[in-house]
Amino acid sequence: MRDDKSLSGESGEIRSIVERAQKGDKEAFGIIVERFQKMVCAVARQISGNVDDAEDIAQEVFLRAYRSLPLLRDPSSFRTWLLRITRNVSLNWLRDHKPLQTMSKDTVDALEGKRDGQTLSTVMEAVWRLPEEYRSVVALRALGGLSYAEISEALGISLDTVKVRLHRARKMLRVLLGDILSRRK
Amino acid sequence: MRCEKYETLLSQLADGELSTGQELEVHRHISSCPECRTFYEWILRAEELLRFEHSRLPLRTDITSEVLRRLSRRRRRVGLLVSVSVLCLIVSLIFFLLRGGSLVVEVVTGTGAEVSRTGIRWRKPGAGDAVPVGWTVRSGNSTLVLRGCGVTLELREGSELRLNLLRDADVKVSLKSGSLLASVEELARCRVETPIASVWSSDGKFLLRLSGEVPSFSFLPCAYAGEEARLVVDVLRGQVTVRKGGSVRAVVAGSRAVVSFSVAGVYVKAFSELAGQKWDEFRENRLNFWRQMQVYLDGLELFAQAIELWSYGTPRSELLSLSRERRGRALNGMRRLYAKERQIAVALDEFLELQKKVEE
Repeated sequence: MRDDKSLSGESGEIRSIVERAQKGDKEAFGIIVERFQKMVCAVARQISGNVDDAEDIAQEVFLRAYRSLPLLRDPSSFRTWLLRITRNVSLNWLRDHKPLQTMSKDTVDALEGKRDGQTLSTVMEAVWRLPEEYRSVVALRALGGLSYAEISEALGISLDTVKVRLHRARKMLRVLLGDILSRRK
Repeated sequence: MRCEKYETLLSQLADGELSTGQELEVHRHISSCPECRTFYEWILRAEELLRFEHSRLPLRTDITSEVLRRLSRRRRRVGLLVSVSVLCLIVSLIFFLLRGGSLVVEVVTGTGAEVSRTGIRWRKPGAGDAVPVGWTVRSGNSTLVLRGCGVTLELREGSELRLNLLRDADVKVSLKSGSLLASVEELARCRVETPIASVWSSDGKFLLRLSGEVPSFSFLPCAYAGEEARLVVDVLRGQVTVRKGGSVRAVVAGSRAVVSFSVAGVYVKAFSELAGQKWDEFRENRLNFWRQMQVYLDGLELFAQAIELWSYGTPRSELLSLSRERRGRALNGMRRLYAKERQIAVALDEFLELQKKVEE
Protein backbone atom coordinates (compact mmCIF):
# COMPACT_ATOMS: atom_id res chain seq x y z
CA MET A 1 0.00 0.00 0.00
CA ARG A 2 2.84 2.34 0.72
CA ASP A 3 4.57 1.58 -2.53
CA ASP A 4 3.96 5.14 -3.56
CA LYS A 5 5.27 6.38 -0.23
CA SER A 6 8.64 5.92 -1.79
CA LEU A 7 7.65 8.89 -3.90
CA SER A 8 8.35 11.14 -0.97
CA GLY A 9 11.94 10.66 -1.89
CA GLU A 10 11.07 11.68 -5.40
CA SER A 11 9.29 14.87 -4.40
CA GLY A 12 11.16 16.79 -7.06
CA GLU A 13 9.86 14.48 -9.75
CA ILE A 14 6.31 14.57 -8.41
CA ARG A 15 6.51 18.31 -8.15
CA SER A 16 7.47 18.68 -11.78
CA ILE A 17 4.72 16.27 -12.87
CA VAL A 18 2.17 18.17 -10.81
CA GLU A 19 3.36 21.46 -12.28
CA ARG A 20 2.93 20.06 -15.77
CA ALA A 21 -0.56 18.87 -14.88
CA GLN A 22 -1.38 22.31 -13.49
CA LYS A 23 -0.70 23.70 -16.93
CA GLY A 24 -3.30 21.33 -18.35
CA ASP A 25 -1.01 18.47 -19.38
CA LYS A 26 -3.37 15.50 -19.25
CA GLU A 27 -0.60 13.00 -19.82
CA ALA A 28 1.10 14.24 -16.67
CA PHE A 29 -2.17 13.97 -14.80
CA GLY A 30 -2.48 10.40 -16.06
CA ILE A 31 0.89 9.63 -14.45
CA ILE A 32 -0.36 11.10 -11.20
CA VAL A 33 -3.50 8.94 -11.28
CA GLU A 34 -1.43 5.86 -12.05
CA ARG A 35 0.89 6.51 -9.12
CA PHE A 36 -1.61 7.46 -6.47
CA GLN A 37 -4.64 5.37 -7.38
CA LYS A 38 -3.93 2.51 -4.97
CA MET A 39 -3.36 4.85 -2.07
CA VAL A 40 -6.48 6.88 -2.85
CA CYS A 41 -8.58 3.72 -3.22
CA ALA A 42 -7.34 2.37 0.10
CA VAL A 43 -8.01 5.58 2.01
CA ALA A 44 -11.42 5.98 0.34
CA ARG A 45 -12.25 2.36 1.13
CA GLN A 46 -11.24 2.77 4.73
CA ILE A 47 -12.97 6.08 5.38
CA SER A 48 -16.16 5.37 3.45
CA GLY A 49 -16.43 1.87 4.82
CA ASN A 50 -17.24 0.64 1.35
CA VAL A 51 -15.12 -1.75 -0.63
CA ASP A 52 -17.18 -2.03 -3.75
CA ASP A 53 -17.56 1.70 -4.50
CA ALA A 54 -14.05 2.76 -3.47
CA GLU A 55 -12.89 2.88 -7.08
CA ASP A 56 -15.80 5.12 -8.06
CA ILE A 57 -14.93 7.40 -5.17
CA ALA A 58 -11.30 7.43 -6.32
CA GLN A 59 -12.37 8.47 -9.81
CA GLU A 60 -14.38 11.33 -8.35
CA VAL A 61 -11.37 12.32 -6.22
CA PHE A 62 -9.11 12.55 -9.26
CA LEU A 63 -11.69 14.48 -11.30
CA ARG A 64 -12.06 17.01 -8.50
CA ALA A 65 -8.33 17.17 -8.05
CA TYR A 66 -7.90 17.94 -11.74
CA ARG A 67 -10.43 20.76 -11.56
CA SER A 68 -8.87 22.22 -8.42
CA LEU A 69 -5.27 21.70 -9.46
CA PRO A 70 -4.74 25.33 -10.54
CA LEU A 71 -5.49 26.35 -6.95
CA LEU A 72 -2.79 24.16 -5.46
CA ARG A 73 -0.16 26.65 -4.36
CA ASP A 74 2.56 24.27 -3.30
CA PRO A 75 2.91 21.30 -5.67
CA SER A 76 5.28 19.57 -3.23
CA SER A 77 2.38 19.14 -0.80
CA PHE A 78 0.36 17.38 -3.47
CA ARG A 79 -0.01 14.10 -1.54
CA THR A 80 -1.45 15.86 1.52
CA TRP A 81 -3.77 17.89 -0.67
CA LEU A 82 -4.94 14.84 -2.61
CA LEU A 83 -5.66 12.92 0.58
CA ARG A 84 -7.62 15.83 1.96
CA ILE A 85 -9.81 15.68 -1.13
CA THR A 86 -10.05 11.91 -0.74
CA ARG A 87 -11.29 12.23 2.79
CA ASN A 88 -13.85 14.89 1.89
CA VAL A 89 -15.19 12.97 -1.10
CA SER A 90 -15.35 9.77 0.95
CA LEU A 91 -17.28 11.52 3.70
CA ASN A 92 -19.63 13.06 1.13
CA TRP A 93 -20.18 9.61 -0.26
CA LEU A 94 -20.83 8.31 3.22
CA ARG A 95 -23.38 11.08 3.77
CA ASP A 96 -25.21 10.29 0.52
CA HIS A 97 -25.13 6.51 0.82
CA LYS A 98 -25.64 4.03 3.52
CA PRO A 99 -22.26 2.70 4.52
CA LEU A 100 -21.70 -0.91 3.59
CA GLN A 101 -20.73 -2.72 6.70
CA THR A 102 -20.77 -6.02 4.94
CA MET A 103 -18.75 -7.04 1.95
CA SER A 104 -19.74 -8.69 -1.28
CA LYS A 105 -18.80 -12.33 -1.71
CA ASP A 106 -16.19 -11.45 -4.35
CA THR A 107 -14.49 -9.10 -1.94
CA VAL A 108 -14.48 -11.63 0.84
CA ASP A 109 -13.05 -14.21 -1.53
CA ALA A 110 -10.33 -11.79 -2.54
CA LEU A 111 -9.51 -11.07 1.06
CA GLU A 112 -9.34 -14.61 2.21
CA GLY A 113 -5.66 -15.23 2.34
CA LYS A 114 -6.10 -18.64 3.89
CA ARG A 115 -4.06 -17.66 6.91
CA ASP A 116 -5.12 -20.32 9.29
CA GLY A 117 -8.40 -20.27 7.40
CA GLN A 118 -9.29 -16.83 8.73
CA THR A 119 -10.62 -13.86 6.80
CA LEU A 120 -8.12 -11.05 6.66
CA SER A 121 -10.74 -8.35 6.72
CA THR A 122 -10.66 -8.08 10.49
CA VAL A 123 -8.43 -5.01 10.91
CA MET A 124 -10.18 -3.17 8.11
CA GLU A 125 -13.54 -3.85 9.68
CA ALA A 126 -12.32 -2.83 13.12
CA VAL A 127 -11.11 0.51 11.74
CA TRP A 128 -14.50 1.01 10.09
CA ARG A 129 -16.11 0.77 13.50
CA LEU A 130 -14.10 3.70 14.83
CA PRO A 131 -15.71 7.14 14.92
CA GLU A 132 -14.97 9.14 11.78
CA GLU A 133 -12.37 11.46 13.34
CA TYR A 134 -10.35 8.47 14.53
CA ARG A 135 -10.90 6.49 11.34
CA SER A 136 -9.58 9.36 9.22
CA VAL A 137 -6.32 9.79 11.13
CA VAL A 138 -5.65 6.06 11.04
CA ALA A 139 -6.34 5.91 7.29
CA LEU A 140 -4.21 8.97 6.49
CA ARG A 141 -1.35 7.67 8.63
CA ALA A 142 -1.35 3.96 7.85
CA LEU A 143 -2.59 4.00 4.26
CA GLY A 144 -1.77 7.51 3.10
CA GLY A 145 1.63 7.54 4.74
CA LEU A 146 1.25 11.11 5.99
CA SER A 147 3.33 12.47 8.84
CA TYR A 148 1.64 13.97 11.88
CA ALA A 149 2.27 17.48 10.54
CA GLU A 150 0.75 16.56 7.19
CA ILE A 151 -2.31 15.01 8.84
CA SER A 152 -2.66 18.16 10.89
CA GLU A 153 -2.61 20.21 7.69
CA ALA A 154 -4.95 17.89 5.82
CA LEU A 155 -7.59 17.82 8.53
CA GLY A 156 -7.14 21.36 9.79
CA ILE A 157 -6.49 20.23 13.35
CA SER A 158 -3.59 20.79 15.72
CA LEU A 159 -0.57 18.52 15.98
CA ASP A 160 -1.51 17.60 19.54
CA THR A 161 -4.99 16.60 18.43
CA VAL A 162 -3.47 14.33 15.80
CA LYS A 163 -1.31 12.64 18.45
CA VAL A 164 -4.24 12.20 20.82
CA ARG A 165 -6.58 10.87 18.14
CA LEU A 166 -4.08 8.34 16.84
CA HIS A 167 -3.29 7.12 20.31
CA ARG A 168 -6.95 6.78 21.25
CA ALA A 169 -7.76 5.11 17.95
CA ARG A 170 -5.11 2.50 18.57
CA LYS A 171 -6.33 1.86 22.07
CA MET A 172 -9.84 1.34 20.74
CA LEU A 173 -8.54 -0.95 18.02
CA ARG A 174 -6.68 -2.96 20.54
CA VAL A 175 -9.88 -3.57 22.43
CA LEU A 176 -11.55 -4.67 19.20
CA LEU A 177 -8.69 -6.67 17.79
CA GLY A 178 -6.41 -7.61 20.63
CA ASP A 179 -7.33 -11.25 20.92
CA ILE A 180 -7.51 -11.89 17.21
CA LEU A 181 -4.09 -10.43 16.51
CA SER A 182 -2.63 -12.33 19.43
CA ARG A 183 -4.06 -15.55 18.06
CA ARG A 184 -2.42 -14.88 14.72
CA LYS A 185 0.99 -14.53 16.21
CA MET B 1 2.01 5.38 36.60
CA ARG B 2 5.33 5.11 34.86
CA CYS B 3 3.73 3.33 31.92
CA GLU B 4 1.04 5.97 31.56
CA LYS B 5 3.79 8.48 30.82
CA TYR B 6 5.10 6.32 28.00
CA GLU B 7 1.81 5.04 26.74
CA THR B 8 1.06 8.08 24.57
CA LEU B 9 4.62 8.05 23.25
CA LEU B 10 4.36 4.49 21.96
CA SER B 11 2.18 5.52 19.02
CA GLN B 12 4.61 8.28 18.14
CA LEU B 13 7.52 5.86 18.37
CA ALA B 14 5.78 3.45 16.02
CA ASP B 15 5.18 6.33 13.59
CA GLY B 16 8.75 7.61 13.81
CA GLU B 17 7.59 10.96 15.16
CA LEU B 18 9.86 11.16 18.21
CA SER B 19 13.17 12.95 18.51
CA THR B 20 16.27 10.80 18.87
CA GLY B 21 16.48 11.49 22.60
CA GLN B 22 12.86 10.56 23.16
CA GLU B 23 13.23 7.45 21.03
CA LEU B 24 16.12 6.21 23.16
CA GLU B 25 14.19 6.90 26.33
CA VAL B 26 11.06 5.06 25.14
CA HIS B 27 13.15 2.16 23.82
CA ARG B 28 14.84 1.88 27.21
CA HIS B 29 11.42 1.74 28.84
CA ILE B 30 9.92 -0.91 26.57
CA SER B 31 12.98 -3.11 26.94
CA SER B 32 12.15 -3.33 30.61
CA CYS B 33 8.34 -3.23 30.41
CA PRO B 34 6.72 -6.25 28.72
CA GLU B 35 3.28 -4.64 28.68
CA CYS B 36 4.39 -1.56 26.76
CA ARG B 37 6.54 -3.65 24.46
CA THR B 38 3.51 -5.78 23.62
CA PHE B 39 1.43 -2.69 22.81
CA TYR B 40 4.21 -1.23 20.68
CA GLU B 41 4.58 -4.45 18.70
CA TRP B 42 0.82 -4.69 18.45
CA ILE B 43 0.63 -1.22 16.83
CA LEU B 44 3.24 -2.14 14.24
CA ARG B 45 1.56 -5.43 13.50
CA ALA B 46 -1.96 -4.01 13.24
CA GLU B 47 -0.91 -1.35 10.75
CA GLU B 48 1.11 -3.80 8.74
CA LEU B 49 -1.91 -6.07 8.59
CA LEU B 50 -4.22 -3.21 7.61
CA ARG B 51 -1.94 -2.29 4.73
CA PHE B 52 -1.66 -5.92 3.76
CA GLU B 53 -5.43 -6.33 3.66
CA HIS B 54 -5.84 -3.34 1.38
CA SER B 55 -3.02 -4.44 -0.88
CA ARG B 56 -4.79 -7.78 -1.34
CA LEU B 57 -7.75 -6.09 -2.94
CA PRO B 58 -7.20 -5.83 -6.68
CA LEU B 59 -8.36 -2.78 -8.64
CA ARG B 60 -11.17 -3.90 -10.87
CA THR B 61 -11.27 -0.88 -13.14
CA ASP B 62 -8.63 1.01 -15.06
CA ILE B 63 -8.98 4.19 -13.05
CA THR B 64 -6.45 6.14 -15.12
CA SER B 65 -8.21 5.51 -18.44
CA GLU B 66 -11.60 6.11 -16.91
CA VAL B 67 -10.56 9.44 -15.35
CA LEU B 68 -8.93 10.67 -18.57
CA ARG B 69 -11.98 9.59 -20.57
CA ARG B 70 -14.30 11.48 -18.23
CA LEU B 71 -12.07 14.57 -18.37
CA SER B 72 -12.28 14.61 -22.18
CA ARG B 73 -16.04 14.17 -22.07
CA ARG B 74 -16.30 17.01 -19.57
CA ARG B 75 -14.23 19.30 -21.77
CA ARG B 76 -16.57 18.61 -24.70
CA ARG B 77 -19.54 19.33 -22.46
CA VAL B 78 -17.96 22.58 -21.21
CA GLY B 79 -17.24 23.56 -24.83
CA LEU B 80 -20.90 23.02 -25.73
CA LEU B 81 -22.00 24.97 -22.66
CA VAL B 82 -19.73 27.88 -23.58
CA SER B 83 -21.08 27.91 -27.15
CA VAL B 84 -24.66 27.98 -25.92
CA SER B 85 -23.82 30.69 -23.37
CA VAL B 86 -22.15 32.86 -26.00
CA LEU B 87 -25.14 32.43 -28.28
CA CYS B 88 -27.52 33.42 -25.47
CA LEU B 89 -25.31 36.40 -24.69
CA ILE B 90 -25.36 37.58 -28.29
CA VAL B 91 -29.14 37.19 -28.50
CA SER B 92 -29.54 39.09 -25.21
CA LEU B 93 -27.21 41.82 -26.42
CA ILE B 94 -29.11 42.23 -29.68
CA PHE B 95 -32.36 42.31 -27.75
CA PHE B 96 -30.92 44.89 -25.34
CA LEU B 97 -29.61 47.11 -28.11
CA LEU B 98 -32.91 46.99 -29.97
CA ARG B 99 -34.84 47.69 -26.81
CA GLY B 100 -32.44 50.32 -25.56
CA GLY B 101 -32.82 49.65 -21.85
CA SER B 102 -35.34 50.84 -19.33
CA LEU B 103 -35.73 52.22 -15.85
CA VAL B 104 -37.80 50.43 -13.30
CA VAL B 105 -40.40 52.42 -11.47
CA GLU B 106 -39.85 51.55 -7.87
CA VAL B 107 -42.21 53.73 -5.92
CA VAL B 108 -45.30 55.58 -6.93
CA THR B 109 -46.97 57.84 -4.45
CA GLY B 110 -50.11 59.88 -4.92
CA THR B 111 -52.08 59.78 -8.15
CA GLY B 112 -51.96 60.99 -11.70
CA ALA B 113 -48.58 59.60 -12.73
CA GLU B 114 -48.44 58.27 -16.24
CA VAL B 115 -46.00 57.19 -18.88
CA SER B 116 -46.64 57.94 -22.52
CA ARG B 117 -45.13 58.20 -25.92
CA THR B 118 -46.15 60.50 -28.77
CA GLY B 119 -49.50 59.28 -29.96
CA ILE B 120 -49.57 56.42 -27.50
CA ARG B 121 -50.75 56.55 -23.94
CA TRP B 122 -49.42 53.96 -21.64
CA ARG B 123 -51.11 52.73 -18.55
CA LYS B 124 -50.39 54.32 -15.21
CA PRO B 125 -47.10 53.08 -13.84
CA GLY B 126 -47.05 50.84 -10.81
CA ALA B 127 -44.26 49.64 -8.58
CA GLY B 128 -41.93 47.34 -10.47
CA ASP B 129 -42.95 48.58 -13.92
CA ALA B 130 -40.29 49.21 -16.53
CA VAL B 131 -40.20 52.53 -18.30
CA PRO B 132 -38.86 52.08 -21.83
CA VAL B 133 -36.41 54.44 -23.40
CA GLY B 134 -37.81 57.37 -25.30
CA TRP B 135 -40.98 57.47 -23.28
CA THR B 136 -42.12 60.49 -21.35
CA VAL B 137 -42.88 60.24 -17.69
CA ARG B 138 -45.30 62.60 -15.99
CA SER B 139 -45.50 62.73 -12.25
CA GLY B 140 -49.03 64.14 -12.07
CA ASN B 141 -49.86 65.43 -8.63
CA SER B 142 -47.45 63.08 -6.90
CA THR B 143 -43.79 62.33 -6.58
CA LEU B 144 -42.57 59.56 -8.80
CA VAL B 145 -39.35 57.71 -8.05
CA LEU B 146 -37.57 55.92 -10.85
CA ARG B 147 -34.69 53.69 -10.13
CA GLY B 148 -32.45 51.76 -12.48
CA CYS B 149 -29.04 51.59 -14.10
CA GLY B 150 -27.56 52.80 -10.84
CA VAL B 151 -29.49 56.05 -10.97
CA THR B 152 -32.41 57.24 -8.91
CA LEU B 153 -34.62 59.97 -10.28
CA GLU B 154 -37.19 61.67 -8.13
CA LEU B 155 -39.72 63.42 -10.25
CA ARG B 156 -41.42 66.13 -8.24
CA GLU B 157 -45.10 66.91 -8.39
CA GLY B 158 -46.20 68.42 -11.70
CA SER B 159 -42.98 67.43 -13.48
CA GLU B 160 -42.54 65.77 -16.79
CA LEU B 161 -39.41 64.32 -18.28
CA ARG B 162 -38.22 62.28 -21.17
CA LEU B 163 -35.83 59.44 -20.55
CA ASN B 164 -33.04 58.42 -22.78
CA LEU B 165 -30.86 55.67 -21.41
CA LEU B 166 -27.41 55.10 -22.64
CA ARG B 167 -25.23 52.39 -21.14
CA ASP B 168 -24.95 51.43 -17.50
CA ALA B 169 -24.95 54.62 -15.51
CA ASP B 170 -25.36 56.99 -18.42
CA VAL B 171 -28.78 58.53 -18.26
CA LYS B 172 -29.86 61.43 -20.36
CA VAL B 173 -32.86 63.21 -18.99
CA SER B 174 -34.71 66.04 -20.70
CA LEU B 175 -36.79 67.89 -18.21
CA LYS B 176 -39.79 69.47 -19.83
CA SER B 177 -41.34 71.04 -16.78
CA GLY B 178 -41.33 70.83 -13.03
CA SER B 179 -38.29 69.80 -11.00
CA LEU B 180 -36.16 66.76 -10.68
CA LEU B 181 -33.79 65.32 -8.13
CA ALA B 182 -31.32 62.75 -9.26
CA SER B 183 -28.85 60.73 -7.29
CA VAL B 184 -26.45 58.10 -8.37
CA GLU B 185 -26.11 54.95 -6.39
CA GLU B 186 -24.68 51.51 -6.71
CA LEU B 187 -21.68 52.91 -8.47
CA ALA B 188 -19.83 49.74 -7.85
CA ARG B 189 -21.70 48.46 -10.86
CA CYS B 190 -20.05 51.00 -13.10
CA ARG B 191 -16.89 49.83 -14.68
CA VAL B 192 -14.60 52.78 -15.00
CA GLU B 193 -11.01 53.50 -15.77
CA THR B 194 -10.40 56.76 -14.00
CA PRO B 195 -12.04 58.36 -11.01
CA ILE B 196 -13.63 61.13 -12.97
CA ALA B 197 -17.24 62.16 -13.02
CA SER B 198 -18.48 64.95 -15.18
CA VAL B 199 -21.68 66.92 -15.11
CA TRP B 200 -22.82 69.17 -17.88
CA SER B 201 -25.76 71.30 -17.21
CA SER B 202 -27.81 73.85 -19.01
CA ASP B 203 -31.16 75.15 -18.04
CA GLY B 204 -33.95 72.67 -18.32
CA LYS B 205 -31.73 69.85 -19.51
CA PHE B 206 -28.82 68.00 -18.12
CA LEU B 207 -26.79 64.96 -18.81
CA LEU B 208 -25.19 62.83 -16.13
CA ARG B 209 -22.26 60.96 -17.42
CA LEU B 210 -20.30 58.81 -15.05
CA SER B 211 -17.11 57.71 -16.57
CA GLY B 212 -15.32 57.19 -13.29
CA GLU B 213 -15.55 54.44 -10.78
CA VAL B 214 -15.99 55.98 -7.46
CA PRO B 215 -17.57 53.83 -4.82
CA SER B 216 -17.41 56.58 -2.25
CA PHE B 217 -18.71 59.13 -4.70
CA SER B 218 -22.26 60.33 -5.10
CA PHE B 219 -23.89 63.55 -6.11
CA LEU B 220 -27.27 65.07 -6.11
CA PRO B 221 -27.93 67.32 -9.06
CA CYS B 222 -31.11 69.33 -9.03
CA ALA B 223 -32.56 71.11 -12.01
CA TYR B 224 -35.50 73.41 -12.49
CA ALA B 225 -36.93 73.68 -15.97
CA GLY B 226 -37.15 77.07 -17.53
CA GLU B 227 -35.23 78.68 -14.71
CA GLU B 228 -31.64 79.29 -13.97
CA ALA B 229 -30.16 75.85 -13.58
CA ARG B 230 -28.60 75.12 -10.23
CA LEU B 231 -26.32 72.26 -9.59
CA VAL B 232 -25.67 71.02 -6.09
CA VAL B 233 -22.90 68.55 -5.60
CA ASP B 234 -23.34 67.50 -2.04
CA VAL B 235 -20.13 65.60 -1.44
CA LEU B 236 -18.27 68.71 -2.36
CA ARG B 237 -19.90 70.62 0.46
CA GLY B 238 -20.22 73.47 -1.97
CA GLN B 239 -22.58 74.81 -4.58
CA VAL B 240 -22.03 75.81 -8.13
CA THR B 241 -24.42 78.15 -9.81
CA VAL B 242 -24.75 77.93 -13.54
CA ARG B 243 -26.39 80.83 -15.21
CA LYS B 244 -28.92 80.34 -17.94
CA GLY B 245 -27.23 79.16 -21.08
CA GLY B 246 -24.00 78.39 -19.23
CA SER B 247 -22.34 75.08 -18.74
CA VAL B 248 -20.17 73.53 -16.11
CA ARG B 249 -17.70 70.73 -16.00
CA ALA B 250 -16.86 69.10 -12.70
CA VAL B 251 -13.96 66.80 -12.11
CA VAL B 252 -14.43 65.02 -8.86
CA ALA B 253 -11.39 64.11 -6.84
CA GLY B 254 -12.22 62.15 -3.74
CA SER B 255 -14.53 64.18 -1.63
CA ARG B 256 -13.87 67.43 -3.49
CA ALA B 257 -14.36 68.60 -7.02
CA VAL B 258 -12.50 70.78 -9.43
CA VAL B 259 -15.05 72.82 -11.30
CA SER B 260 -14.57 74.85 -14.44
CA PHE B 261 -17.12 77.27 -15.87
CA SER B 262 -17.53 78.27 -19.44
CA VAL B 263 -18.96 81.62 -18.36
CA ALA B 264 -16.60 82.28 -15.49
CA GLY B 265 -13.32 81.53 -17.17
CA VAL B 266 -11.48 84.06 -15.09
CA TYR B 267 -11.22 81.58 -12.27
CA VAL B 268 -10.55 78.54 -14.31
CA LYS B 269 -6.81 78.88 -14.68
CA ALA B 270 -5.90 79.36 -11.05
CA PHE B 271 -8.28 76.64 -10.02
CA SER B 272 -6.87 74.21 -12.54
CA GLU B 273 -3.30 74.84 -11.51
CA LEU B 274 -4.00 73.93 -7.95
CA ALA B 275 -6.07 71.05 -9.09
CA GLY B 276 -3.31 69.79 -11.35
CA GLN B 277 -0.73 69.96 -8.60
CA LYS B 278 -2.92 68.18 -6.11
CA TRP B 279 -4.32 65.86 -8.71
CA ASP B 280 -1.00 64.19 -9.37
CA GLU B 281 -0.64 63.42 -5.70
CA PHE B 282 -4.21 62.29 -5.46
CA ARG B 283 -3.99 60.19 -8.57
CA GLU B 284 -1.01 58.27 -7.22
CA ASN B 285 -2.91 57.58 -4.03
CA ARG B 286 -5.95 56.57 -5.97
CA LEU B 287 -3.94 54.12 -8.02
CA ASN B 288 -2.60 52.59 -4.84
CA PHE B 289 -6.14 52.38 -3.57
CA TRP B 290 -7.30 50.49 -6.61
CA ARG B 291 -4.40 48.14 -6.33
CA GLN B 292 -5.56 47.43 -2.81
CA MET B 293 -9.12 47.05 -4.00
CA GLN B 294 -7.96 44.56 -6.60
CA VAL B 295 -6.44 42.52 -3.80
CA TYR B 296 -9.73 42.70 -2.01
CA LEU B 297 -11.66 41.66 -5.10
CA ASP B 298 -9.21 38.81 -5.65
CA GLY B 299 -10.02 37.73 -2.12
CA LEU B 300 -13.73 37.83 -2.84
CA GLU B 301 -13.27 35.89 -6.02
CA LEU B 302 -11.27 33.33 -4.16
CA PHE B 303 -14.00 33.13 -1.58
CA ALA B 304 -16.57 32.54 -4.30
CA GLN B 305 -14.41 29.80 -5.68
CA ALA B 306 -14.13 28.41 -2.20
CA ILE B 307 -17.86 27.95 -2.04
CA GLU B 308 -17.63 25.79 -5.11
CA LEU B 309 -14.43 24.10 -4.16
CA TRP B 310 -15.26 23.55 -0.54
CA SER B 311 -16.29 20.02 -1.19
CA TYR B 312 -13.22 19.54 -3.34
CA GLY B 313 -11.05 19.50 -0.30
CA THR B 314 -9.85 22.99 0.54
CA PRO B 315 -10.62 23.71 4.19
CA ARG B 316 -13.18 26.47 4.49
CA SER B 317 -11.44 27.98 7.48
CA GLU B 318 -8.26 28.46 5.49
CA LEU B 319 -10.02 30.25 2.66
CA LEU B 320 -12.08 32.36 5.00
CA SER B 321 -9.02 33.51 6.88
CA LEU B 322 -7.24 34.26 3.63
CA SER B 323 -10.18 36.32 2.49
CA ARG B 324 -10.28 38.15 5.80
CA GLU B 325 -6.62 38.92 5.60
CA ARG B 326 -6.92 40.34 2.12
CA ARG B 327 -10.01 42.27 3.08
CA GLY B 328 -8.11 43.69 6.02
CA ARG B 329 -5.32 44.88 3.76
CA ALA B 330 -7.80 46.55 1.42
CA LEU B 331 -9.53 48.32 4.30
CA ASN B 332 -6.22 49.63 5.58
CA GLY B 333 -5.50 50.94 2.10
CA MET B 334 -8.86 52.68 2.05
CA ARG B 335 -8.20 54.27 5.42
CA ARG B 336 -4.85 55.59 4.25
CA LEU B 337 -6.43 56.95 1.11
CA TYR B 338 -9.16 58.62 3.09
CA ALA B 339 -6.51 60.38 5.18
CA LYS B 340 -4.84 61.64 2.01
CA GLU B 341 -8.10 62.84 0.61
CA ARG B 342 -8.73 64.82 3.75
CA GLN B 343 -5.37 66.54 3.24
CA ILE B 344 -6.41 67.47 -0.28
CA ALA B 345 -9.73 68.75 1.01
CA VAL B 346 -7.95 71.00 3.50
CA ALA B 347 -5.67 72.33 0.75
CA LEU B 348 -8.66 73.10 -1.43
CA ASP B 349 -10.40 74.85 1.43
CA GLU B 350 -7.34 77.05 1.84
CA PHE B 351 -7.43 77.80 -1.85
CA LEU B 352 -11.10 78.74 -1.75
CA GLU B 353 -10.37 81.14 1.10
CA LEU B 354 -7.61 82.68 -0.97
CA GLN B 355 -9.88 82.92 -3.98
CA LYS B 356 -12.51 84.65 -1.90
CA LYS B 357 -9.99 87.23 -0.73
CA VAL B 358 -8.91 87.88 -4.31
CA GLU B 359 -12.51 88.40 -5.32
CA GLU B 360 -13.02 90.87 -2.51
